[in-house]
Amino acid sequence: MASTVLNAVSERRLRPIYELLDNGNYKKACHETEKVLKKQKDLIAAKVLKTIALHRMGKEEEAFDLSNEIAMEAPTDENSLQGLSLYYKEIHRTDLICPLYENAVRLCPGNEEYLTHLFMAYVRHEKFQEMQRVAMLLYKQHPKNPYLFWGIMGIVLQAENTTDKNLATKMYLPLAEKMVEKHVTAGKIEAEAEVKLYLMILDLMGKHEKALEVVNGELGGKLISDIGGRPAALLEVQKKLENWEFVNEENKKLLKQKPDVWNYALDYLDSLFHLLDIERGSLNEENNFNEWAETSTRLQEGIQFILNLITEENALLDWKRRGPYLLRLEMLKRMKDRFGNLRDSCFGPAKQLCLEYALDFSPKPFCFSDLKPYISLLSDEEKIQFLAELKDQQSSLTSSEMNGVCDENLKSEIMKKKAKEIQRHVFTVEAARYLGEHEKLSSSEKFILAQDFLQKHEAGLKHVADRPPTDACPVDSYCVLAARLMMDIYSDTGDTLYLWRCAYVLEYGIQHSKYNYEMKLMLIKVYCTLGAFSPCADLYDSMEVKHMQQDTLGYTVCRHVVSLGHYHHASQVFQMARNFYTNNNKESLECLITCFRNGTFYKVSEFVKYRRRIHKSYHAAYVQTEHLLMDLFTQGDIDQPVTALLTSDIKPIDYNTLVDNRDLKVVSDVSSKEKRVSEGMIKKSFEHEKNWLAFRDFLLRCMYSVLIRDQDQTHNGCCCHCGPESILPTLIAQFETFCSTLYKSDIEDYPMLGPNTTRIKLSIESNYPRMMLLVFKFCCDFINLKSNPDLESQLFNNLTSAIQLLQEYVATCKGGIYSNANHDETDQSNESSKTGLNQSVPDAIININPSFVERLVICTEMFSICVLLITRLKTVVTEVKMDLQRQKRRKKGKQTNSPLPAWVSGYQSAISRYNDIGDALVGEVKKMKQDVEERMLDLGGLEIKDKEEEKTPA
Amino acid sequence: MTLYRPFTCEDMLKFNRVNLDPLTETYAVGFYLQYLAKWPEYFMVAESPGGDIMGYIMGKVEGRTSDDWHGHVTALSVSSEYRRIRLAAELMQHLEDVSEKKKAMFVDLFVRKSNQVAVKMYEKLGYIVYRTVLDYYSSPNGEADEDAYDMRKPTSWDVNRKSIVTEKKVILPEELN
Repeated sequence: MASTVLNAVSERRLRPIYELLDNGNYKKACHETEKVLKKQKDLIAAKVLKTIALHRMGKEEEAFDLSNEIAMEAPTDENSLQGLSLYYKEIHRTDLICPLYENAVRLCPGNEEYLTHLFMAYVRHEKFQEMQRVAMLLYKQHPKNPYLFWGIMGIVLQAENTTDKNLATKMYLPLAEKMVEKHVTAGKIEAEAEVKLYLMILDLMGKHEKALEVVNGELGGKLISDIGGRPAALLEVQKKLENWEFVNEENKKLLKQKPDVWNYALDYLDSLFHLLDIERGSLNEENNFNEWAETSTRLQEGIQFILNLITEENALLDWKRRGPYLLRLEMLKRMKDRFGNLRDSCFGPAKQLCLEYALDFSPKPFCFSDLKPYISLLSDEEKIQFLAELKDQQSSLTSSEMNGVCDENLKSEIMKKKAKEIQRHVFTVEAARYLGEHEKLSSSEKFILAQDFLQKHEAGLKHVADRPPTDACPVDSYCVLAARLMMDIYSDTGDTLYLWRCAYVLEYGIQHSKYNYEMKLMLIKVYCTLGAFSPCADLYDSMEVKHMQQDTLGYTVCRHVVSLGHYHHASQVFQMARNFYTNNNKESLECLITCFRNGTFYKVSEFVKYRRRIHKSYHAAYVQTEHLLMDLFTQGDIDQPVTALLTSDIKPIDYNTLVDNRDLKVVSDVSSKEKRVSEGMIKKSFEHEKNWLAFRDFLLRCMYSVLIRDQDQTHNGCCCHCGPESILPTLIAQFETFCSTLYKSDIEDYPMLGPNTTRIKLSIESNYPRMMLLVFKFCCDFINLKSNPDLESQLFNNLTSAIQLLQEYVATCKGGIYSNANHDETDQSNESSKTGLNQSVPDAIININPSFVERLVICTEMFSICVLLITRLKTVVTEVKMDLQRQKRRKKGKQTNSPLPAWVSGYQSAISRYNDIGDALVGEVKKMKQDVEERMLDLGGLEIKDKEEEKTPA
Repeated sequence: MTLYRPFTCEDMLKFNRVNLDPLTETYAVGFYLQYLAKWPEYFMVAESPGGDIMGYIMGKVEGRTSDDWHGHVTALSVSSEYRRIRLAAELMQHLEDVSEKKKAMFVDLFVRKSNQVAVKMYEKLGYIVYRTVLDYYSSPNGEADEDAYDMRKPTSWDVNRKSIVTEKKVILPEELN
């Protein structure tokens, strides 16, 4: 048997090196390993440490070669194995840990620790069958319960992940079940985790009767740690068994104890309606049914049960829970869904119930989200009545302003009361907006309403002055509502003046509430729509969006940061996001292993699913592709040779499995039906985003194959036809097909707070895809010219068209950043209600054409890519020139001085046309800078002023 | 009305409205997953009837000796719109119940000294300031580090309430074991 531990001498020699590595002293560590290796040239553990040191010094290739050498020697000592595993983890090649331990296990059969490591190595790579095999081997040699259950879990995972469902139900699951049962019969079950895995298997097999026996039996006694323990587990099984009578009774009891738990409410209602359905099932005719609904004792009892809960809750004086009231509304909704308007009277009209709910809970900010699902119970007419009565109710509860000095205690009471009143009012406004009242207003009425909100905000500030800044502040909602009104006016009129005013409102709001993320997210959207990214970077940073949030919230900045040309910042956010995906992959894998170590089997499948979801995240593919592409056109051949940027391998994207992880619900939506962000909208936007990604991916791949061709030629001097460029024609054909569908995209605008407008829109307007297609076709012909001289006659047709398309689009930038649109800056209210909204928006910003920067950026991008590709083709020209010179030398003495082929001059003239476009673009950028600087002089700093200052004429 | 259920991995994709709160830290994914893998019963989420995450609690059970065996609250956060409806108290109750089942002697937690809202709430729930840990919370912006209160509440297993008695009321972070 091979030795698994180092001898004391080796151990002593290596110890200082470990310390050096830990302290980051890699160079010295490397040096020391060499010294040790001089004395003991076969000490693998020393070589492993050298590998790690080399890798951390940045000598990656050397390190990897050495690691391969070590792997060939099949180390069996613990130090080497652990060290090499560490190295593999650092280089993200955990797949190599498997063969490493396979060898070790082969050489040291029966070593428990190595088998465990091998098992975990398979866990990392989702090799479920191998997991099963190794776990069983472990159990055979070391009969401990966890090993057996690792193996069983391995089988369950095979069942869950096989495409052949038959195999799962007929082979894997019965096998897993049999293995557990054998263990049960032997009386060897020890832990709760084991019972849970047993129940999980039975559940997957649909054997709920058996599960019931388990829960009720001796094994059920082990179920203690989860919420509700054994009774909850029992209830779950009974639900699966559709034992509604039992479920209903149990949840009744639970609701009596805890009427505010929605789980119980849902189970209660679900079971009740199942029971009602069974009763109803025997009735066929409509009339009978109506009669039944009127007389059903079960339904009566159900209604009475809820009424009792309400009575009990009403009796509480100091503090009411919302549970029973929501339960009543939910019951009403389900009854309406099933029985139409029958039995409406049992609880009273829906409108009344909603009003009662508002009366009790509208001082709480969640009240409106609670009521949203039940507003649909009201008819259009009732909705109007509801709003009118709500306003009456609300105004009757509003006390007069607090005046003069009063006792401190009293003051704090009044402040609390005021804060509640504000919340109540906000609720009323939100309801009105949700029900479409704002839609009916004219622009000037919206403006006046927004002013009113801002005044309420200001007046309300003093009532919330004692709140810590980190606490949510009810008056903030006024700014949010005012901002939404400004967005409304903008989307109705298209006048950017109102977006600037919206930005003002939000800036002002944030000034008073610096942690309000809703306002920050809205402001980011506003600035980006206006074509200004700079302020967004700080806003985004101030929310401390990190880790997981990059996947769900990254979309808020990652689109505009490139489309508005903030490449430096883009590079940072893309890199951060990419780091997240790498870390997530690593960390979630290690935690998957922790699940096995801790026997948390029921979480394993959840972890596996989660890992896949993040792995397939659209955002992950997006940041990777955009980043690589951006590096090419911003740095290629400027900061570094383009060939140095071509190292990353681009993995193919499977568009069918991409997942949309964007959190588009982070800002609460109280818009009217027309402007609400719908699921359909999100889905559609996702399809567009995927198309955009596909476009970028095509760009990247086509560019790579043109650029790499060059690399191969200069570095390897051969393989013109076996190199990657041979895939270029295929890629171009695919790209062409893709383009034709892209141009047919039906693009719609989303509400301001909905998904981002797709970049496809502008790319079609600029003919970006078509232009690139022409350029790639040209590149392909140009490269193949030598082998196919027939191409020469038509060679420049594609490029000429491409240049023309680019020129045409660059010409649209001629107008400059400022437009001369008319803005309606007339005062829209009387003097007495002046707020910051009446400030005139300075000339330096009001006339900025919001699409200008984005258009200019797209021009520069197109231009840069073309230049990068065309200049790369220079090598083809150089080759031809060299050929000619060689010919010349051979034919020395003869008079024939063969001229350069005509296409060379064609190439040169194309270059010069690109030069002209470049000059034009630089001209536009300079002009923009100059225009902005000139107008900025008048600006003198735009400030958010207090009302008092505004009144004094500037 | 609140739906209580175990926290799952996918909840990390939905917890923005809770975590964008300035006093709530968003940890690296591995941190949450460690807790899910080791102490899943200590990690619970509260969901509104509309499916929004209202808040969550994350904790663990640990200790070297049986006297020191205790439940620990690692994170407790409630979204701003769902505050003041005793949700935190419900979540704490759950964690205490789990700790009771695990025969923990006490439950402890750390809180910023300045977070008076939280400190008062914990006091209401029966927690006492066991000791102060100096400079426990580091500030990223170069501001002064902040002290933490180490708060404790004995469980029914600690019959003599020994776990809340200490000689040293103020300690340094390195004195924590």
